[in-house]
Amino acid sequence: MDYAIVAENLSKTFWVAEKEPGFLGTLRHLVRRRYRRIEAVRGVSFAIRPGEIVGFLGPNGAGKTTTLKMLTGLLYPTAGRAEVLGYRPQERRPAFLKRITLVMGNKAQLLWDLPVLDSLRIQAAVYEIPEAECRRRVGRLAEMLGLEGVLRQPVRKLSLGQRMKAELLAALLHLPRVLFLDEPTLGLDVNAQAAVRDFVRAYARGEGATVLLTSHYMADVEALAERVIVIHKGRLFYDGRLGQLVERVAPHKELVLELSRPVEPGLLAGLGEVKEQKGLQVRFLVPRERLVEAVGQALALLPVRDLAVTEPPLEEVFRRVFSEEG
Amino acid sequence: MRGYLRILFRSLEAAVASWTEYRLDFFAALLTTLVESAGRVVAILSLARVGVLDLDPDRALVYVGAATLMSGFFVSVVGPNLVAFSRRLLEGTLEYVLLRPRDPVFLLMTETASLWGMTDLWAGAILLGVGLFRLGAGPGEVLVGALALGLGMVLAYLFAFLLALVGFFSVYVHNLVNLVAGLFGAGQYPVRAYAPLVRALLTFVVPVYLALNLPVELFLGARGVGAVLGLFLAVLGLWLLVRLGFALGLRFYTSASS
Repeated sequence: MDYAIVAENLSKTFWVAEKEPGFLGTLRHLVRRRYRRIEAVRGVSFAIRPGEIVGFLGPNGAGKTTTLKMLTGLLYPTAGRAEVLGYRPQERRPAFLKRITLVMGNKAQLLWDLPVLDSLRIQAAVYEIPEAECRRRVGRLAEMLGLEGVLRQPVRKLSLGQRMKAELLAALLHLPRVLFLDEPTLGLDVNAQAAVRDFVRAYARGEGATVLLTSHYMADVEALAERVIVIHKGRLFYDGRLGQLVERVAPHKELVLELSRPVEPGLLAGLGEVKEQKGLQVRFLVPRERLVEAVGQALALLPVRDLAVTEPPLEEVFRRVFSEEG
Repeated sequence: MRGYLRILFRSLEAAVASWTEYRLDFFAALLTTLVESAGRVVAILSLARVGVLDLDPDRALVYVGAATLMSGFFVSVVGPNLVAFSRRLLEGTLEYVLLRPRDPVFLLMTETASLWGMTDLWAGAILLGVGLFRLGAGPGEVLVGALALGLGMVLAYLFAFLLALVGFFSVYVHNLVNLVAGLFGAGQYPVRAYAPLVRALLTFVVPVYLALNLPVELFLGARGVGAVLGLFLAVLGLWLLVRLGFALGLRFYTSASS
């Protein structure tokens, strides 16, 4: 089986200068610098098939962006092997660069003072896209993104959501086969997030593109990716289906009770771990094997007006897992 | 090659669009350009009347014209691009350049341009033209001199870019640009006008002689055409050095984290 993306024992080590606070620390830092070795990525291995959309997750500083930069050829791996579409990314061959893209949610590439179309004209020249073909692609992608009316407005006049969509349009104008998306919905409101997600899904389906997506918004990952790769402290933590991950790392379900009147706190404690109590609404985390028993107890012992059982939010699952891991 | 010319044209097109985006800025720059140009012409006429060193006023006009052109080139092309490069290093957006399937050094050197240096470009061209006309320079000399001056500008830009590569390790590119522009400003006089130590500095350390004085000497017919070849080889050598320096800088570039 040919893979679109392969990482084999990929590692990256940085040397970072450290400085003590205060004047003396500054003097020492000036005269004799002290460096600390940081292993940002440690022996990470995975392989992604063409056309797959994979969520790449982990807490801040886990090594996600460093891995993406090695896969795009921006950083040279300290050890291990990276391969994307059969190319070694660090060689940065034009044929390779024409088939990938990297979108960074917190960094813009559009010209701030000019309309989006001016930036797109430069992109078209860089990627050698003929004029007529460029117009056709811009029209199609802008329609998918709902940007038709704003391409002639200066970028600085666009809303954050429109700007991000325009960034996506510029990044995908050369119709790349592999998309590395680093926090593409960062800071966007719920509607804009959903629009970006829909676009990425439609583009990947339409072009058969492979997507590796990092995001702190679990809704992105849940909506787009069936498979997730989780790294923590630079190491591979999990690689598999999202549903299995939830079962593996979240042995709890969330039980939400709406009570008709206040009750003794002691009665609530017996049902499970109380996560939150707002007025008459109580949220519990209940072990999966005790769920039926806990629901029965609640109905028998408490004045329940309404009841709901849900999976805990992925954010919470990861917070628990990674805080337990230290 | 055609592809690179297309990128250059589109980048210039975007730069012009940026100038006109803020209309007040555009008209202010235009007005400044006209006033400064007038000032330069008055200054050069006074200079011609008084005489500079052992040069006759017309030759002085050619030296000052070439130096003024170089100054305009620094303000409108070199400075804005080096500042943009430094900003990319600080903000971590150099990635977008590195990910393009084109030579990143070319993209960084031709990313933008500023309207503010146009004064010097216009004034320089006029002064040079008037000087050469009064000296009765032939079309061959003008052509060879113009080619040499073009190569000299590229040489000066490559030298400045080489220094700006310290941006991989330092954040003071602004100061560096000013320093280099100032040093090339010294080229409005022949380097032989300076003390031996300064002369050596402007010949062997900062290529002011190669970039400015030599083209002027070609304009004035004081050098053979072989000097252009020498200048071309110097440009080629510096280009290779810039590429080496850039590759070395990239090894230290870890970019800003997301």
